[in-house]
Amino acid sequence: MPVYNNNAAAQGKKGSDVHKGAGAKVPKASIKKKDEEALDVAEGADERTNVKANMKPANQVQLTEAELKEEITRVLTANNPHAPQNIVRYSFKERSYKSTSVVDHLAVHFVLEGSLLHKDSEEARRLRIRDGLCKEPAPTENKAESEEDHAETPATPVEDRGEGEEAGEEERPDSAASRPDKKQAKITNQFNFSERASQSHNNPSRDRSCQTEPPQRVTFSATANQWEIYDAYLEELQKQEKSKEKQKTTLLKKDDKSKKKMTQVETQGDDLTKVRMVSKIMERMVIQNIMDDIAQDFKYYEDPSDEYRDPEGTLLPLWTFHYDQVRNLSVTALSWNNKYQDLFAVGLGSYDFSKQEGGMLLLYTLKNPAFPEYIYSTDSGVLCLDIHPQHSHLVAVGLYDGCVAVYNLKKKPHPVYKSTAKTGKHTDPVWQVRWQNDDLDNNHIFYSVSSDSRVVSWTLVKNELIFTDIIRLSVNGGVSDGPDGAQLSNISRGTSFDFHKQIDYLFLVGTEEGKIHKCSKTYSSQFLETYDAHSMPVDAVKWNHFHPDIFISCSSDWTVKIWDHTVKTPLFIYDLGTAVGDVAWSPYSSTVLAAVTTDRKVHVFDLNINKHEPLCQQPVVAKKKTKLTHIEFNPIHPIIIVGDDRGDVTSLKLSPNLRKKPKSKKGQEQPKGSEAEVAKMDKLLSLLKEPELSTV
Amino acid sequence: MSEVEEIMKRILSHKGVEGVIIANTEGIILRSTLEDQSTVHHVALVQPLLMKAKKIVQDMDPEDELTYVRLRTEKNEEIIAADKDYFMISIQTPSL
Repeated sequence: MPVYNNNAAAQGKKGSDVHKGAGAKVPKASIKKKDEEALDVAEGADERTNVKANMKPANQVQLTEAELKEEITRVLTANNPHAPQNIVRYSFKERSYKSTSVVDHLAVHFVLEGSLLHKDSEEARRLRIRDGLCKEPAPTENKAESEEDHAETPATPVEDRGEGEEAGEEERPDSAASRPDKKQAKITNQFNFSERASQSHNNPSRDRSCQTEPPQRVTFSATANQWEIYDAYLEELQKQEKSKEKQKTTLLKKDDKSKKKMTQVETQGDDLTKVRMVSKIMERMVIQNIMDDIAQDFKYYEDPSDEYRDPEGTLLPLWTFHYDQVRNLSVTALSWNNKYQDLFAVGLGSYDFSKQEGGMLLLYTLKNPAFPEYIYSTDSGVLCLDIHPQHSHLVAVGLYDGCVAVYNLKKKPHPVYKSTAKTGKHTDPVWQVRWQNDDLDNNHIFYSVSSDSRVVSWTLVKNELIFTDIIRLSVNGGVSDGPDGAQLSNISRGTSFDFHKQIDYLFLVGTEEGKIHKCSKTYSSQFLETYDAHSMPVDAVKWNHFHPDIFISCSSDWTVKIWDHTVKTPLFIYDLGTAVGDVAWSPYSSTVLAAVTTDRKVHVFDLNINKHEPLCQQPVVAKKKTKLTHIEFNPIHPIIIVGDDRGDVTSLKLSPNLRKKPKSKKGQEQPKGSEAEVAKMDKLLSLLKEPELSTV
Repeated sequence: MSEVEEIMKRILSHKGVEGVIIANTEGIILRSTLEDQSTVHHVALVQPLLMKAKKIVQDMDPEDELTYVRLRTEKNEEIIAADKDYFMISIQTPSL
């Protein structure tokens, strides 16, 4: 009956998996239980009803007869029902997923670890010894002995053992404990030994490394040719000679040591002073680059429109020389250097009586229009200056406070010479200075004129300035009586002078009263001649560069007058409209002259072309209120420099019309240079004189 | 020394000037207004040029001496002024 029930139950479980083995047993067991319960119920029910009917549980699957009779085979296999059957693994070799068919079907139900030891294993032996079951030698002792003495026969360990044993018998309790100790090391295990350890803090290790810069590599190249070899030999020679000299001098002098120290110090260090020349050149070149067009104009530009504007000419502005620190000073003197014709000196001071500040002496070069080459400041305003025609490093300067000074551009202490009250300085501003030829002792001499009515010559003797009064200017008529009976000495104050180019002793002095006196260096009290020139102080008197008789004067009474020194009246008078600051003859022509006025205009005349009107009347400075104070022609270049009362110097180029030379007739050889100029002037004068004669 | 500094300042104040370098013939840089890298670069390249130029001048005429070398490029003008021991480079953009 249970079998049948089982079958029925199995049929009932037809839908489920046919898993056999352990898994099958359980459902069978449960089925059995159920069946037993069912049987119990059934038996109970049977007892009641006495019917051997199958009791079906309520949820038993209802099957048809045919299905009930169906035979189902059940197979018992040894497969692990829990083992997965569909493992898929990725195979790298075939680059795809592949199912692995081989699956381990081992199921472990129960594991128990045993505690059996092989009797010959180490641990077993140790245990045995501990337990004292065997008296075999400890394995460790064996090892130790074998290590110590391989040559020892087995007899010796036996002896040792025997001794040990004897010793042990005597001292039983100790040996019993010590022997195993001697023979073997104590085995530590977790039951008889506890170990404590501590570790000190280990500092973390750090790597420190240093790398120096690799030594710089420099490529060195040089050419070896005869030139180099020669140079090297020369240097050696020079060195040897120097060392010989030094040896000689060490015997004599004692301060050689200090000299050596000096030389050492010079070579050390970051000596930038040697770069001075290079940096100067650099500055000039940089500025030239910037002002390139002006430089080109200076050299090459000739105004082409002059052909159409005959006879007029123009002035082309070139550089403007401006120095910031002299903004409130006016240019009081200009002078070109004869030797270096691009170098000119500018004296700065103030014409204003009330505003007297310091003065400056600047030297500019055309090569560097941006910054002066030499800068000297003076205590009082500079009123005049002159550069020595031969020794172009000497500059004589006259100051507002009456002093004269000489600057040597090459030497350091400035000024080199200066006059003081003791040494005869003027008591009034010095209006003009001029260098003269050296005296018999080859000392340099210069002259100065001042409004204290003295014309003084100064001689540079060694370190001093020695003065000599040349002349005292006084009005003709001597002493006159003043209103209160006091005697007024009529001194006339000199404001300008000029020396004759050829005749050494002859010079002209212009005065504040407007008179011009012709004087000689040899006569100290008398004038050779006096001309009533102007109504206001004579600002400038200049001899003509070529013609020996002609000179020109200008004054603040608006006029420019040209004279022949043999004639008392002027030859030409030009009224320029405003006060004339300065006038200058041109160095290339005897008939060209230029004048500057306070209305910032420059007037250029060429008497050969137009006797009555200027060829060019051009305002030169931008700002309306600046007055032009001085003008000078450059000795060789066709440019003029004009100073104004703002401390700026403007350079202008003369257009071709202003520089005309007399045309040479064909076939006639024109006498060149000064002779031509003199001839030109003479011709002019003759034209003048004829009408004069005719009127007379 | 201050004079040279002044001159350098003036040169630099002009428009178009990009930089000024002063170095000695061994290539040691004394003053420079450009950064170190480009300065070193410049000096290292200019030095052999300068030596060569000096040799040229000396070979042609024994009494002559090199004053300066101008290197005009499309973008710049370099002026290298040479002295016995020192040289100075200034880089300028032409004001044309």
